[in-house]
Amino acid sequence: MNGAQDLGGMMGFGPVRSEPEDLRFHADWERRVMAMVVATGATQRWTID
Amino acid sequence: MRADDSAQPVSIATRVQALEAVLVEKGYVQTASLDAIVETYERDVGPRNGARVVARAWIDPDYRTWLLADATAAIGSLGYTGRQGEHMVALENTPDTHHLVVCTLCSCYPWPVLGLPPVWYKSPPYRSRAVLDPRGVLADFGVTLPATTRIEVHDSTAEIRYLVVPIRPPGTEGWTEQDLAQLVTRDSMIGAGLALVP
Repeated sequence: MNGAQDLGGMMGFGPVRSEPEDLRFHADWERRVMAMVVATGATQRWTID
Repeated sequence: MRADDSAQPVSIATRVQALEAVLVEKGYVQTASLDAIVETYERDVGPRNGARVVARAWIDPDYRTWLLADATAAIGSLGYTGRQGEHMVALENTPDTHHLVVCTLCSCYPWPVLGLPPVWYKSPPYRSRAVLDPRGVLADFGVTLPATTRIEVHDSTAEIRYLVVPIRPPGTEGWTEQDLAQLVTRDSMIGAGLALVP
């Protein structure tokens, strides 16, 4: 499969940076966007593709 | 273009607000629903769910057998069902084999047991290197496995999500399920870490 998202095996992205498990959102707008993605997807008139 | 090009682009927060307002105005979503979704994934659904599954498997051999044979049903029996976790497979770590889970194409993740995926799981460094150099990735997490331990890397898909069952730490004989669950970290259920040693 070829595509920009097919990152398996690619090189040059640097180290993995972990984050604490109780960190859910990095900004308030992330909360709203996540909820909108879930809710709008439920209308079945839009997908993340 | 006007002569003054120093105007700042509209902030992401403002754009998100505008998008939400438009979606609500057009009747696609309701504010209360959005609030409920946020609360669900901020408070109710997270890695502590998966930790309970793992602790149960450590204590109850029948549950462990069930989990390994039919993870969807075993996990579902604890109430952890729903979107992004409809088809689950449990992977048990042993001294011989360590499992690591990734989604190289996007960020497929078992939401009902682990909640929202962390940024690193969704980002290029992890997605690219997990399949290429799993020991290097584990080293980024401060984990070094014996050279004799084989590492199996599993690429999640839209259909299948994985829950890694880490090795039960030594010195925990007789512990309650509740106390054992506290040793199970989010990272250990992805395979990027190990359970905490008391």
